[in-house]
Amino acid sequence: MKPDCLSERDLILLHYGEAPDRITPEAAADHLASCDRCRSKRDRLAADLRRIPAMADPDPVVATRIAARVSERLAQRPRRWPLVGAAAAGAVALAMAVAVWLPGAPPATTVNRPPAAAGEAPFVGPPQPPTLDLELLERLDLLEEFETLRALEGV
Amino acid sequence: MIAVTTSDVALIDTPGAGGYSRRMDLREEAVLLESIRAGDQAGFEALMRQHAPRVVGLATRLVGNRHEAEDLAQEAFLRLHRSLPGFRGDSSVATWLYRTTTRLAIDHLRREALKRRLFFFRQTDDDPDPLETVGDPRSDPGRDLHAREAMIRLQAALRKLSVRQRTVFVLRHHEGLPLQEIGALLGLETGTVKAHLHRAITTLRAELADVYEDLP
Ligand SMILES: [Zn+2]
Repeated sequence: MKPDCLSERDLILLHYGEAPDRITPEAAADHLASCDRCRSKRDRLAADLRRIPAMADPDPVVATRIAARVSERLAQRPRRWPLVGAAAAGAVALAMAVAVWLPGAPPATTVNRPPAAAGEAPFVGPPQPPTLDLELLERLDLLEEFETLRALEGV
Repeated sequence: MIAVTTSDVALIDTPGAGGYSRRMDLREEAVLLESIRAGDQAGFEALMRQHAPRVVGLATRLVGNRHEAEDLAQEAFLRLHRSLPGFRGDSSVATWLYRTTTRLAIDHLRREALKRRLFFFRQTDDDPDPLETVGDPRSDPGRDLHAREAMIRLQAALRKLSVRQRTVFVLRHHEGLPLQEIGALLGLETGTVKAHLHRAITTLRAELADVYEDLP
């Protein structure tokens, strides 16, 4: 055995076209060209790995079956996207209605605040675009998503 | 939320044992996703039919059992459906499914390993034969029998590996993923991935030594 013979780990890495650990691929190739022992080890490794049986992708019948099963599961639970969409649209419409109905009124976020005391500067909240309602709904949706996920995983 | 990295794309572009014969253009896919979000259930079915062979194939190679793999694939598609409202379209569905299926398979393998440790659980005869996966009606029966035996032995040998060793081996050997991408997928350093691959192959060769001797 030569001092620079390749380790089994390096032979495995070279087999898969990965960089070996302590030697460049070029130096490894040079060594293999000149060392019968390493070449023989490499060839045995390659033969063993070639004999590992392959597992092919299934045929399209399986895909059709899975698609049908998932669709069935989806049909069994209430569809939430349109509801979320409707709720979001409703929230935006409500915000706009309030804004129109109260001309000159402060932004919607301040409507329910107690009136400012005399001499106190009126409270002006940070700008709150209507998209915040959407974000809130999305977060609630995500929360529900998470709970569904936990319920599924908890089985 | 779905994160996108450059390796997401590489993950799918890497030619594996069963690469996609046709990859859907991301823009084309974004249009389909928008339609599904608007309630196009037939569109979602088409999307599932397109990806299911690859997802089931990956899951089968990871867990070694077609029946369990189909359950994992179903779960992956249900999660995809739930994730669609937040799916930004800058990551491909294929990449998302690849990651999700791998993670589901790892969780499954961990649960199975725990069960085996706790209850000395072993697969019963009722479990579907993992070799349903290799049957080819055109092949000759003798050769087929040999292939089935080799597959049973391989599955038994794979069960001797740790979940990480097994996952790294399958992703590198069967899926053709570069070790660096496997590291990114599993959250491991490349050096650690190399160590798992080395250990996996050493164990498999030892476990399958007599099978190799019998084979031509
Ligand atoms: Zn040598």
